[in-house]
Amino acid sequence: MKHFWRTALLVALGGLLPASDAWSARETVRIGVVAGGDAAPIERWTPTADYLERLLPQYDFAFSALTEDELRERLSGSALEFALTDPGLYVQLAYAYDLAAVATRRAPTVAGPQAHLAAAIVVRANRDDIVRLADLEGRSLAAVHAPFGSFHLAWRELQRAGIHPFRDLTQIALERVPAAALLRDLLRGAVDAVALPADTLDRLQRKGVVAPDALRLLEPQPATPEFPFPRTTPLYPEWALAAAAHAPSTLVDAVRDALLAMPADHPAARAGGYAGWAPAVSYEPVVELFRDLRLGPYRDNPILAHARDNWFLLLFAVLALVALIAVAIEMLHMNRRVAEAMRGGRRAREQMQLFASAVEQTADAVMITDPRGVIEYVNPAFTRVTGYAPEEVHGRTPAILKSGQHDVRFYQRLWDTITRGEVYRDEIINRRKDGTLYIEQKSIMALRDANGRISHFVAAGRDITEQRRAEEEAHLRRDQLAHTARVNIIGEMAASIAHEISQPLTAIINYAQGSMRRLRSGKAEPERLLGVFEQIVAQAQRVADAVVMLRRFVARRKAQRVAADVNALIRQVVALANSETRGRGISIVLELAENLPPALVDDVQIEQVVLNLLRNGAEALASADAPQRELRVRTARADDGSIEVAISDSGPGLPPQLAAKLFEPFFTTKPDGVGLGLAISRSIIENHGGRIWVTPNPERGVTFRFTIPVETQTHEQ
Amino acid sequence: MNNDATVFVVDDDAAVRDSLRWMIESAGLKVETYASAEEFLAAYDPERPGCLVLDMRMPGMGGIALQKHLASRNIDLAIIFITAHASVPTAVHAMRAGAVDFIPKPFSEEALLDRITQCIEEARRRHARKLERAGLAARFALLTPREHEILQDVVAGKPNKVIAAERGISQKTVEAHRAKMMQKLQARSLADLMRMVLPRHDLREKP
Repeated sequence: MKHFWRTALLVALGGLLPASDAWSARETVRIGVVAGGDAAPIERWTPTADYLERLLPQYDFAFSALTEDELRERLSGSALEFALTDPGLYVQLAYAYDLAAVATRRAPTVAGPQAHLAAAIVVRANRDDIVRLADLEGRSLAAVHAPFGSFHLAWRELQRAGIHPFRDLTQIALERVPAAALLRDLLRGAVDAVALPADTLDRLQRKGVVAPDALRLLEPQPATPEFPFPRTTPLYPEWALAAAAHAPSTLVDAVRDALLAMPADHPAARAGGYAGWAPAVSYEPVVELFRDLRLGPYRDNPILAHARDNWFLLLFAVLALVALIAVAIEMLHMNRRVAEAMRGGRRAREQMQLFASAVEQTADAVMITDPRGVIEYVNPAFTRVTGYAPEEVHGRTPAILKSGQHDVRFYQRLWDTITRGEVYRDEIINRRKDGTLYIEQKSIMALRDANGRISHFVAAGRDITEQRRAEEEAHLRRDQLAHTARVNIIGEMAASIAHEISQPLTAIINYAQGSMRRLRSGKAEPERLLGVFEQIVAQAQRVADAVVMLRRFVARRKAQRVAADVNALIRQVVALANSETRGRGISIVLELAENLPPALVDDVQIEQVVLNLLRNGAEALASADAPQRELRVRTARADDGSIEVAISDSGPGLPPQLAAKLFEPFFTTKPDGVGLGLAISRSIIENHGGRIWVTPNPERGVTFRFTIPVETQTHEQ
Repeated sequence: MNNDATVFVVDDDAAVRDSLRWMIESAGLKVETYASAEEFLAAYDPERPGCLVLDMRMPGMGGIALQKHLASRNIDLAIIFITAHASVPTAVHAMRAGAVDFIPKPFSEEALLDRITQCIEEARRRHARKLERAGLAARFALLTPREHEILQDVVAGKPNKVIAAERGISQKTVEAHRAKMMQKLQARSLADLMRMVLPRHDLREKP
């Protein structure tokens, strides 16, 4: 049956698309591999390059071995699209050059491919004097020398146990020798403890290099099914493939999908000394380690700057569907030769094998049914996600996954779509075998036979429950952070807001007392008094408006989306900002486009962004004796239909190298600033589906711009 | 009563400006309002007596800058600063530079009107003194060099006899010059003369 559907799939797809002409223009993709680590020699990456070129024929992949300094130099000059580095260097480079992890290299271990690593700290079994890590005080420790090796992992655990390695250990030996040699030293008594990779320890024990009962693991962590090796330290991610900020997202997505589809035992993986790739795992543990040890970027600044939310995971989830399509396109591209191969070509059979194993290996749950919906095939990912083994679902229908969360019409629409021959894409809430619900990002398409009749349905799904939960948490955190920032802004503006309120109060008192004096002396003319009372009411209203605005800004509130007139939001904020800018002799000029459509936004958050940018501009103007102290706020309809807001100052401008860093958390040029304003502004705008950037003005100063799409419903449910 | 003394209000906030006018006029004072320091400078005639009620923070030229500008032009106009940002250093700064008062907003009518009334009275006094000094200067200008010498001697307390001896002229001639000088200066007595001369001595010592 398996072979049947593979054949059917390939033949059916074969007729659908024309042969690709992607060979015509090939772009070079430069990948820097950090040298001196435990990466294989650079020539052994050639098969990986070949593999990528076969899947992505529009690109030329060039791997080069680089030292850390060379990597930094090329990254700063945008001369690399990707960097492949150890986790330690990755977090430093990510911090400095805005890299994003695309995939995590999986290491081959006896328990299968591993995207994580950990260290074990062992002593001789008979060392009764060393029971806990703390007992290592005054002892010696050996580890294999590596850029982000067992020693660094052990260091953090020692520090947690109150031991500072460079102060409390008698000797630290970092040797460029195999771990087996260190264990022999340990057994000889030449050293008191050894830190080594957990899987290496397991391997050496299995191979009999050391007797399992000769060693004792210090402070073992509970084993998990994913990482079954005895270990002392927490899990850390393996090597990262990271994309440079300038790498086009189409390229990044394509490379990620191609790598994720690579089987663990692919010849390219074997040549490169790895076992395939995993979706980028969290590098937060490495950041935390650096922070704890005050290494790398946290040497002087203990504040966590790695505040990037995990939303690339969300992006990944959506694009994961494209993974299969990428494989399918590759199949189409190969269709003619494959068709020939069907008649006996050996090479084609290899290709078939490759794609079939890609489907087996992919992280997406794949299900193939006959035209009536009876399940014929499910891949291992399906079993992982749903809990149903293949034999439990063969012959049954996908209805076994029904959660009861969708109505009949929902499923009817699904059937209508796929039977029409269109691809169905949506999120479906399904039920696992154990009864728990999960959210699946699903796409389903029909395959047709030579007569155009539907022969099969192929469904690919990705469990995005975790991502969705992480996403919701991230939203909550972001909203809280935004609120905190708003309260801070109001705090900083307290003096000028007091001014803004005391002006109308002053006027009210003057009007009232002037009126009272006139009434007492009998010189009051009713008509003039009436005009004055109208003024009093208007001024009281001014105070009330300021108070309402204040309350809106500092109140704890749920994030919400309302249809808002962006111009009106800007006018309100300018009233608030005016209190501060006026005192600095700065005027705010509005050039608001008429007839802007309403935008679905969180009004207070957008006001916050505008206020932030206005205050930054005022700051820039105040820091230089600009001839014209003026902030210009423009709104316009951008080419793509979104609303663009531009805020220009005529201040001293920005050096280009700072412009790139501006939106990072904790980056600030102000001596007393926290540096969160722009980072929060960016997170708010991006959450609205817009973008925020800064450009220098031709004359003086800079212009901050952001866009808000007019239809933003899809970005937050 | 000198009706010329005017309260000049300079405040960029239209409501504050207008309400100040309403309130100050209720005390029977003459008020002119200006939206900016620049507008005020363009309209102000330094000969006009008055009191300046000045907002400290304004776009363009601020209150302190206007105060400096007036001082650099030797315009002696009493200033009452009003501000919503009453920081001690700026207040001290403004007072040292000659402001007569510094009132935080919002303020009570009595406090402000008291200060304004005092200020206007002070302005009138200054104006009167100024007029008097101007008249005196005109009278002094009528003296001949010889009468001027006699004046110096009289002020120095020398009797006519001594003056005559020192100058080598007859006592009669001294008396004639002296009578002429007293007449030109409209001084009725020696004490009257001393009152006229002493401020000039003071003035002369000033840079």
